[in-house]
Amino acid sequence: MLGTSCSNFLDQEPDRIMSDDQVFGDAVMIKSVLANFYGRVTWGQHINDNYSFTYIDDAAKMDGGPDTRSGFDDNLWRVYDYTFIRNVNQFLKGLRATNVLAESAKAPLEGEARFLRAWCYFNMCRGLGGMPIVGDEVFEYNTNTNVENLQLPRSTEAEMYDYIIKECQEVAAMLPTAKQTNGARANKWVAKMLEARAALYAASIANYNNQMTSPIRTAGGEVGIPADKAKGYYAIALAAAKEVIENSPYVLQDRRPDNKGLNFYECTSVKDNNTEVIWARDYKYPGQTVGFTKFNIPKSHAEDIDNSYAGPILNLVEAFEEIDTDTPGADSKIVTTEADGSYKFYDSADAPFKTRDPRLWGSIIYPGAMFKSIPVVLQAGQLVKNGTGYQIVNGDLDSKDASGNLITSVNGPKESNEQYVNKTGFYFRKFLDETPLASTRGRNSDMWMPRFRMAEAYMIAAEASFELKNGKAADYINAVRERAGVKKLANVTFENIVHENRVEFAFEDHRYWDMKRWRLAHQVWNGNNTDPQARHRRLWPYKVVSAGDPNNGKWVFIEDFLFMSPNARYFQMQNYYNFLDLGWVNNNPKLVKNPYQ
Amino acid sequence: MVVVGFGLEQKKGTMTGAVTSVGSDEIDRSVASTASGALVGKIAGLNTRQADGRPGASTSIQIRNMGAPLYVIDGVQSDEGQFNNIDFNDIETISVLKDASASIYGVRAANGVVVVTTKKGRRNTKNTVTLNAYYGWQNPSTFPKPANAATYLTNYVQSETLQGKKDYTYSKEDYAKWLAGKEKGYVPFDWYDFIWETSPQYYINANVTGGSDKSNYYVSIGHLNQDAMIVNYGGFKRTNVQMNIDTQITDRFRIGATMNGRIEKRKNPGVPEADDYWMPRFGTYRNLPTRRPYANDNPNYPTLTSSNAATNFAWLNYELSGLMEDTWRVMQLQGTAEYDIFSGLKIRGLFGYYFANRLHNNQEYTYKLYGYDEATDTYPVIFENNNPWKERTTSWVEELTSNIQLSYKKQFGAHNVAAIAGLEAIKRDNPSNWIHSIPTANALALFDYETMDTYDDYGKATQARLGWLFRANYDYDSKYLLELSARYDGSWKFAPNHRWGFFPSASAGWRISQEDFFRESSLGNIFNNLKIRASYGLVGDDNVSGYSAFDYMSGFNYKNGGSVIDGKYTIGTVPRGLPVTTLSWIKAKIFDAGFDAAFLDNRLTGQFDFFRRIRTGLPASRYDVLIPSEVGFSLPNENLNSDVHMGYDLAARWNDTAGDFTYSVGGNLTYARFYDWEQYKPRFSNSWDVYRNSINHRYGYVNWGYEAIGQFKSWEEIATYPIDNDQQGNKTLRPGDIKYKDVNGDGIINGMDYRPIGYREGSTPILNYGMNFMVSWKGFDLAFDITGGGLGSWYQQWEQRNPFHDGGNNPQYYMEDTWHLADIWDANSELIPGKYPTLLIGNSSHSNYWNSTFWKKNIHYAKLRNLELGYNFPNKVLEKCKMTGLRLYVMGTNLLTFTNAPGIDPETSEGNGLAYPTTRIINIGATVKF
Repeated sequence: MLGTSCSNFLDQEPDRIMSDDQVFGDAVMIKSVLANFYGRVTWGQHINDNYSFTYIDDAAKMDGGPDTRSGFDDNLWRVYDYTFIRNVNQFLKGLRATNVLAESAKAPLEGEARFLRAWCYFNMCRGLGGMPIVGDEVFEYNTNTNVENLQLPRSTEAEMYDYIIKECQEVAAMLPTAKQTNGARANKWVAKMLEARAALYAASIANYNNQMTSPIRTAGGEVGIPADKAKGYYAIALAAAKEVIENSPYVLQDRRPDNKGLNFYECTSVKDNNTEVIWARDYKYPGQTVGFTKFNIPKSHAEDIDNSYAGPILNLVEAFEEIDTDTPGADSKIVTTEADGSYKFYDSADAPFKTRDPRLWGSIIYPGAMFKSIPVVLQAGQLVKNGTGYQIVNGDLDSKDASGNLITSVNGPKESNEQYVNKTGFYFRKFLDETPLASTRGRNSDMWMPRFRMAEAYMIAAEASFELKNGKAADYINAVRERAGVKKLANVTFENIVHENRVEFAFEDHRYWDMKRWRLAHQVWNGNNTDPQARHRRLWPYKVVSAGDPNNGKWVFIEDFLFMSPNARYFQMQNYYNFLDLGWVNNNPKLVKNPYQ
Repeated sequence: MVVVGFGLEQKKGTMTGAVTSVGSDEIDRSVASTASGALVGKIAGLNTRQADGRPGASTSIQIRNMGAPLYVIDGVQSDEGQFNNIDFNDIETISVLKDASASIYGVRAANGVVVVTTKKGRRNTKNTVTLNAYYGWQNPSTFPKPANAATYLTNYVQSETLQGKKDYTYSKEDYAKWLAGKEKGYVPFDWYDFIWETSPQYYINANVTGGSDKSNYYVSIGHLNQDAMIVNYGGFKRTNVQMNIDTQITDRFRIGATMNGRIEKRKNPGVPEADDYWMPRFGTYRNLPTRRPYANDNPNYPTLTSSNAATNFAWLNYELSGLMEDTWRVMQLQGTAEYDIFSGLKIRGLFGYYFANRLHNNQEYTYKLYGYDEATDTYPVIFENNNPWKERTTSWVEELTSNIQLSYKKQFGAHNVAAIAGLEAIKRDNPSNWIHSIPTANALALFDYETMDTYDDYGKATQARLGWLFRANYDYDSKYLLELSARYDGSWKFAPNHRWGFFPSASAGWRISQEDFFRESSLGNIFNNLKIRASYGLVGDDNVSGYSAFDYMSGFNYKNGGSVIDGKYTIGTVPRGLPVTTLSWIKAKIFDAGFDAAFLDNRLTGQFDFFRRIRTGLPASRYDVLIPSEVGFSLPNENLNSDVHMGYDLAARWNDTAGDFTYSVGGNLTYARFYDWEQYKPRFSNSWDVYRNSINHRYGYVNWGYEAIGQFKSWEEIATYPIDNDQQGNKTLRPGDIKYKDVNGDGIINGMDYRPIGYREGSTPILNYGMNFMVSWKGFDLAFDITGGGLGSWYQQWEQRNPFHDGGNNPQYYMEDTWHLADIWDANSELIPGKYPTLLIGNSSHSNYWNSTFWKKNIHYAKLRNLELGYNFPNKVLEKCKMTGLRLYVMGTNLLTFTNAPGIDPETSEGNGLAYPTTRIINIGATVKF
């Protein structure tokens, strides 16, 4: 008797553990599992990881002292989440077995879970190449298990993309077609977009990898896709993108013909009445918020201690073309000196920028641009007449000269080891939230981060058309350019496509993967410390303060390599694919290592 | 008698376990705000470290470095907070169970047990009222002061000169003005002086004790106040009540009641960052001596003093930044009953109820920082913080303890037999929740639902433990001693079939001094007592790292992850991993052997113990059972690895009188070393890998780094130096830079030259010692304790090492002793040697700042920890005033520190040297009895 009461005494109830029956017996709990899944599928560059934008040539770290990064880690943005895949499969098993839901109600849930699994494989594949495909299997283990039965070989890279494409095609039929709130859940169009993107990636690898002098591949095809498959993949990509363009409820958002910059900001960074975004990672206050705005808001606009963790760099700013350029679809340099080497004087701090592609305004806060209707002053110092020449005068943050003229803005830019100071001359605008208190520690922001949006459907269609030479490429790319507010292209070149993707999708986790699939990464990020593409550059504004001088009140700009990033970006051949962790290989002898590993 | 727990007490003479006791007279000589501080240096076998001295802070205590011990207060298992915040003046004795004799506490006894008995009063004594009060002044015992303006600027200008910067941050004229320090805008500011101050600590206690022939009682109330040494920064207040009553109902039946309660409150301004004490410490360094706290020196307008707005101490106060209050309200009630069934056989019961409530309220206001516009004489806002933060943590602890024992004790001639058997059950709930809101105005003190955005319910977190205990003692004529004890223990954490563990132990002793042959020998005249003893036993630990309660269950975890879908935040649920059915108790086998001795009419007493604890069943995974990672789970851990603690402790004391003098000199020492022991099938790729990475049968926490072998003396020496000292062909080196030993002789300094250079960081040191002195003469008495430690490492980093760290300051002792230029404006001027390398801006990744013996120091120290001088008024004076005692005293704490640590407190564990310093206190007090 004592024995029983004793063992009862030790049987306590856990607070948060639920049985399978409790979960699959209740639609609310089933949704709760999906909520967990949606929270686990953000990989690559994203707004919860400020520094992720600084690894490439879009932005730089401004927080603290120099960042000596140069090469790319063997496991950068490597996804290998078989725990997630197992969890999805556990969910599918439970969902298929439950009888609290009608079969018709189960289909979209199964579609979502399988889509998320395909998305996981896609993220895995773009980093690692083909990896084992588990299917719906939920593995178990006990001491009698024959471990060899658990050992799966890697699939080929082509098989993996085929699997993703097939899954997307299947679940597209199960998923709803209506728009989802803030694009947070998968619907048919999300599946079509993944299908299109996966097919485009597969096509690019089939195409561009084989154009390299020594293509990157393994004997078993785990890495590398035969060139003859390119055409088929481009056709799948085009068909899927076309279906989204023609049949989906989304359109390129173009509501402000008079303010294209603001329109572009709203396309990517404002949820209300958004017609553009198809799938996004959503955040919401109260509940789950994101710190990007807090970390990156201009110091002058900060609502809390944090600000200025990272900032865009000149390399990206110069990618935004002049609106009236003679060479549409290409970068254009910002001129800082006259032919004789003297300073070029501009009438205002924003003069070199405001005549450029309106997407520059919509993506980056440049000197003198407005944020929340208040100008963001970026002034590194004064330019003071000194005899025949000029002399630079620097000060502390928010310093003024004896006459009360600003020397250095509270924002900087300034060269120092300090936190909370701008060092590049630019701030992010894309994904920076204008909502009051969005930059405070107590609240943070409910900015979303789009994963698929309509412009990508057009760009995929444009690229696939270009490669298939069907004559439609210009129509698709010009739809995007027209919406942006830049000149149309008469002929489309490969360089135009590269350029357009860069400016359209800056900070949206596209460029790194694009540069890889086109096999351009090692050429652009070549590790050369004197290469203005490979090394981060800054542009600092100085105001002329010299009463009586004709240039008084004008602005000059000084370009330099960024001291915060002393090393050029260096992408080596081995970086085209992540290395396999040796632990995985130890655990599964059937896994083949990647090239250069 | 030595009390080792509820109903468990033993005669010191016949004890066989390694147990050390101290009485109230030894611990009272302390003004520590928590009980742990009063034990430092008093007990052999205790390793201690006070890494932080903030108001109400405690000292971390480990018995023989074995980990956090179990505390038992008046028979009830208690947590560390309950022990620390009891008023130690209410404590009668503290016994420390260091070996397997602790096994009677089973499940949580693997790290030793601290047994506390409070004062109970004595039968047949007169009622005595005692009043005791002191008032003291606290100062930081050691805190590295930041460099002054002249030293800072000299180093800064010199750095810019050496780095070839043309537009100097501080021009020659500016520099001269700063050094003169007279002109407006060039007056340096002493941030240390602005932030730190001398502050009070005081204590008052009243107690009543006495007893009739049927009952005894002790009732006490006390209050302690310890202010922060930071200006206007609140502090710690605690009020304690203790009531103990024992009474005889009949000749055979006794009952007792104990109540211990307290209110414990910490209060300070609510300031940014989770640790409200961080910003004042950080601000001492982050704000340069060239920055002043107020715009135009107008105290109504705090300004921005660094790029981090929160470093300006001028607004870190109750008016501008907010309020934090953290209060514990605690009540421990227990009743005991004891009935003599027949001669020698007793039944005893204890029932305890513990209730604690914590209420933590924190509010951080919005605030503005101002600039000054001289032209218009206005103060524009230059920084505005709009992050009002309001949070509340509410938690409760409710614990029920019941303990029933049957005991038997009998003497049969020379045979003494005692046995005890019992059952103890403990159940503890700890529900808690956290709420957060963004209040619409700073003045709002209450939470409003409308502004609340988070409510986290952490659940009950119930724990339940049950144990059967047994102990038998036998001795023959107090000569041959034997003790057997055991506990059969169950813990709710584990799966039903792994729940129970059996933990037996045995110890034996031989009092040689009781033997006739010994007494009759010449040794008998010297030794009054000589006992050798040994113990061995098994104790358990259910605190298995990497295993949480209920890990044996499958299913789903609710409240795990989540995301915003359908426009709403949705809490996530995740499938649990494979059930863990393979893990159970950690088992600790403790061996102890030692002796107790007394010589020369008991004037010299001593003890020595050697111990070795081996813990088996530390969790690890069988990595050689290869499960492909693609299955999505990894094998659960099993009880596979082991570790060892080994060392010795000893104590000796000399007591004597000479005329009117009474004196005693005592000392104790504890050496406790940790070893990693068996690892599950360790594998290595080569012998270097074994050397560098094996932990099999090795000292634990070996601290690796370079061996610094001096500094370069000249450019010539660098030019001809054959070893690549900076991995860049010595391009970056300057005279004064640190030279490293090329241990493997390959001509380059790199990871292959790492060698063991230090001990564990941050924990209690391997070696602790204490020396206790006491002398009295007529009414005067003087007592002091010297305590110390060694064989622990501290890694000098951040503010204490990196040049101009984070745009801020470095300490004076550092900046004033660097290799420097004779003329700071001339890079080619003569170099004058110093202790540290030249400071260069942005240079903190230079080879000078690599991990080496230059910065990683093996710290040893001795402190004059307590000193008390008192005077007891003679009886003839007292009788006139109707008093029975009057004592006036002066006490000092941490008066002197001898150490090799540079400028910092040797007990600090923070590499930046900015831990809240331990306090140096001088106080005066009086005790009145009547």
